[in-house]
This record gives sequence, C-alpha cells and structure tokens, in this order.
Amino acid sequence: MYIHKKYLINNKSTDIKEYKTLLKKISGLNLRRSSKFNVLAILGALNCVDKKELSGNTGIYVCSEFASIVSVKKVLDDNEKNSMIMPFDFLNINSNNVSFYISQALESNGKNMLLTSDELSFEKGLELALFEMEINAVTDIIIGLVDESLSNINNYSRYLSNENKNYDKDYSGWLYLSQEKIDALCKIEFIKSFDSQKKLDEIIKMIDYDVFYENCEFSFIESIENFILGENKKMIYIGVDKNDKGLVFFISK
Amino acid sequence: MKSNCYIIGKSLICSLGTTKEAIVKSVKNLDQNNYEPFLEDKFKEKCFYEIDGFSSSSSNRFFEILKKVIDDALKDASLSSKEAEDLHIFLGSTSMGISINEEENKKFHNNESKDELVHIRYGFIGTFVEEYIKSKHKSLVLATACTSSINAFSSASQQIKHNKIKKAIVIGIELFNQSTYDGFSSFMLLSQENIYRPFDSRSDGIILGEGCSAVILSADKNKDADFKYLASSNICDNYSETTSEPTGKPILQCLETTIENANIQLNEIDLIKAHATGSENNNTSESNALNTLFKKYNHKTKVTALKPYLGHTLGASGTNEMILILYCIENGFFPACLGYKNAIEGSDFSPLIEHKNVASKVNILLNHVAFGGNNSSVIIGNKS
Repeated sequence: MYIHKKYLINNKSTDIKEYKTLLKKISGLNLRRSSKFNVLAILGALNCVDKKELSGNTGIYVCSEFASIVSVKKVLDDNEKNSMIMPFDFLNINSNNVSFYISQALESNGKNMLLTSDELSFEKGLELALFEMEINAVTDIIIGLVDESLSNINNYSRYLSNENKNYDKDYSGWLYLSQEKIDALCKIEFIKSFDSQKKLDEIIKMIDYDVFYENCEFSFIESIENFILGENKKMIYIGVDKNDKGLVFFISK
Repeated sequence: MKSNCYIIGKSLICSLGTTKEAIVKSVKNLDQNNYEPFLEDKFKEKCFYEIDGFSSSSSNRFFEILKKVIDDALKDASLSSKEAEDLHIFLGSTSMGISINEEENKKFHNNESKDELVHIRYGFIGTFVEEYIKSKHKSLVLATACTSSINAFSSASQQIKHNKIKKAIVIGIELFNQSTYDGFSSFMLLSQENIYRPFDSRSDGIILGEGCSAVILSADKNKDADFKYLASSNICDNYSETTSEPTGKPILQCLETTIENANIQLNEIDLIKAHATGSENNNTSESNALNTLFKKYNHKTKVTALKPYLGHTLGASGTNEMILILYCIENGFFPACLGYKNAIEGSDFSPLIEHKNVASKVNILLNHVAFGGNNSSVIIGNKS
C-alpha cells in the first residue's frame, strides 16, 4: 500500500471566510452555509488529490475526533433561545455530509464515510481503508483527519481525558494511497494492533526501524512529512490511547 | 482462503418492546385493520416511536439502553464476559449521544450545571462499549447517516470473512433528540397525518423513532439456523445531500452489485427489506429501482418495509431492522408492510400487505439509503 500524495493544513484558528476564498479557487462547490469543518475537509482533500487522476472506485474516508461539535454547540445554544433549527444548521450537525461533499467535488461514486475512534480516529480509519483496498472493495484511497479548532468551546479541555493535547488549531491532513508502486513517497508495510504496553514492546522488538514517531507528539501525516524529508529509510508510527490500546504502522521508502 | 461470518447473537430495544418475545408478539398482532388505532395510541403525546421503561434522564437512559442491548446480545450468543473481551467493536449512529449534550446544555442555560456539554469527542460511545465489555480492541464508529449501522455490519462481516478478525459486536444506536426531530421538521419531511405508509399513494412523510440493537458476529456458527453474511455493497449517489436521484439508478446499481457479489440470482432471494422511509423522494427512487430490478431479471421478489413498526431509526435502522426481520423469520413469517394499500404512480410492484408464512431457511436482502447519497445493501441467508 503506497502513499503517493499528502497535504496538511495545521493553522491557528482561522476565519471560515479565508478557507472559503481558498476553496473557491479550486472548486465550484456552493458551500455558502456550510460549516468550517466541512470547508476545511474539502479544501484539504481537493488539494491533496490536486491533478491526480482517480480510479473511479476511490474510497473516501474522513476521520475526525470531534466532527461537527462546534456546530452542535451552536445549535444547542440556538435551541435555548427558542430559535428553530434551520435546514443548513441541521445539515452541518449531520457530520457525515462532509464525505458526500468531497465525493461530489471529486465526482467519485465509490464509498465514502466518516469514521471516529477516540484518540485514534485516523489510525483506525486508515486500518479500515487499507483493508478495503486489500480486498478490492476500493481501488485507491483518499483519507484525512479533520478537526476544526475547539477554541469556540469554552474551556474545552475539561471534557477531555488527555489534557496535554492542544486542539486550538484548525487541522485537515490528507493522504492519497494506491497499490501503484511507481512514484510513491513511501510504503505502508504492515499494521499491528496492541492492547497493552507489554504487547507494544513485543511488537517493536520484532521490527527493524530507523526512526519512530508517536501520536502524543505528531499526527500520522506530520510523521510522514518528517520521514519523507529525512534520511531514514524505515519508520514506525505508534498511535496509542489512554488505555494503552493502539496501532503500530511500519513504513519504508 | 475466505472464512464465513455468522450472526450468532442479537438483541433489539425499540418502541415495540425490550425483549424478543414482546417485539414478536406486537408484530404478529398487527395488521392493516388495527394499524391506525395502534398508531393513534402510540402517538398520543408526540408523533414518534418511543421506547418505554427507562430513566427519564437522557444520559442515564442512553447508557441503560445501550448496556441492556449489549448484555442481551452477549447472552443470546452464549458468550461469557471473558469471551466478550475478544470482540472487535463496530458502531453505527447518526446523532451519536447528542441527547446527552442537549440535556446538559439545557441545565447549563438554567444555571443548574457549570458544563455546557458532556461529551465532545465524536467516538465516546465506542470507548464506553470498549470499557463496558473490557474489549482488547479499539472500537470503530461509522457515521454514514441512515446507513451507519448497516455499514458497520458490512465492515465487520467482511473483516471476519477475510480472516482479519474472528468475532465482533456491531451496535446501532439512535435515541430521541430534539435537534434531529426539529431538523427533519425543518426539511418538511415529517408526516402530517401521523400514519406511516411507505410506498403507498397516500404516503405523506417520515415518522421518526428510536432504537438500539446489537449483533454478535463470528467465523463459527452456534446453531444450524444462524444466518450467514453473503455479500454487501456501498456506493455513493452524488445527486444531493438529502435526496436520492429520482430515477433510482444508484440504488439499482447498489442492489445489483450486492446480488452479483453474493453470487446468487434474484430468484434465490426470498425477501427484500426495503429502506422505505415514506418520504416522497424515497417512495419514488426506491420504487423505481425495485421496478427496474424486477423487470430486468423478470422476477418479482417479495418486498416489505419495517418502519411502520419501528419508526425511522436513522443510523440504527440497519441493525434494528435486520434483527426485527430475523425475529419474525424465527417465528415463521415475513412481516407485512403496514399502511400500504395502493401503489404510487408508476410503481408496478406491491409490498406484502399481510404477514406471510415462510420456511425457516431463507435468503434476504436488506436495502438502505441515506442522506449524503450513501447507498448500502446486504444479503444474509441461512440456506445450506
């Protein structure tokens, strides 16, 4: 499974208008009432694909830790003011529409979905996407992790168990993968899951690697960016949650 | 080398009841004659298929229902708590736990709580299930609107079939929340006459409901009659985020691909459980797809719809309706499409108007259509 393209937006919280302006330059989609979550996702996915010709059976996987929580909070606050929920607000809290908009923008008819798994949304999403490419349910993959800044939710860290992480930024990180070896940036050799520190140690002992990254410091896509720019040939990426469950990815170039 | 994937346990909590016996008894007793009085009684307070008998607090109710569904499914599958730790978790929902945040937010605005929300992580239900059954595996939560839990079922089944995992629990959950109710209302999609009539010329919209269900899947069967996953398909209809292409072509494509993937003929399918939301667009597009399918293969398969019994339970409808149909088959019948009398214009098939006795070994196709153009079909069967 080969990674061919990557694209990352990792900004301080930015006004949606700026993202819409950037999106207008590359897409004719009408997203006038759409949420920042949707706009960020489409902007990232389209920039990742760029001029790449897709297979026609591309799987689109949008992963997210918080999805449309900022829009949900707005709707809840509006409800308290006894305002009727407006259709576009309802569409914005239906987080899964995000993958539809990307599918529409790319004119793809393959499967598309929104996936989540606490602290490991991208890692679990990638595991599923790679499996589906392996069994030929999809021919190629566009996968991203998208989360808008939580700065609009007062003191958001009180709702999170791993409070060391900062979710103030707008994030939209994307990869394009296929089974085509030529011109690939790197290759995902295999994935192993674990449910304890002991099992993780056992897995790591079995792998001959040059460098490793962990999700507590870098996202998967940031790790790939660092790996590609560096001299190392073999890396592992470890995604682990608060209960010591997670996944190890072994990647080579 | 491919393996098999069997449904070895299941449970459902819905407005018809909280046990298989109560649910089957309700379905059996319903017919076209007593359907409207049944609805009138059910919708005395609000036009919604509501689950009775749990806490009044949204948060307590949410987790009480979820825990009961999991416990009942594990019991049905005869799995010990130790064996449950090996289950991979797949969960499908549209609104996730928004009802819990609604309740807390209301308290906050009434100065009864310092927190505006309870959960902000989208996948918190998955983590709850992991911790509840002490699973060794990380959960995966799928949100594809009304196809969420059927897609969760397909994903889990494919992973078992391809020997990636051995056992899984698939959960669909959708409980009442004001935001969804008002959202559907804002699109003017809800029935005004308060009578659910999918595919009928008098059909005037959707009636929402709530439900939670769990399916236990395994590479090994428990009982001879256990249903096996045969095939599935998922495609995107790019026509609109809220409606299907009216010709039904993408729905047809999904149905045909599933039948092809199952390597069977249309005439080997004993029943099609349609999505049948009762909305004007779904009545047209799904009818068109089924009409074309039947003409093309020169065979009319029996069709039914289950939302008149459960309401439209959105992301949970996949597993909810699968289990309801399996309960009925275990009791020797296919349930009728209540509320149906006359076909909509252009449709030349009629769904079942009364319960139909069936043999215990059948193949069924479950069709689902969702906001965001997400079309999914699954075929399961227990014929040798």
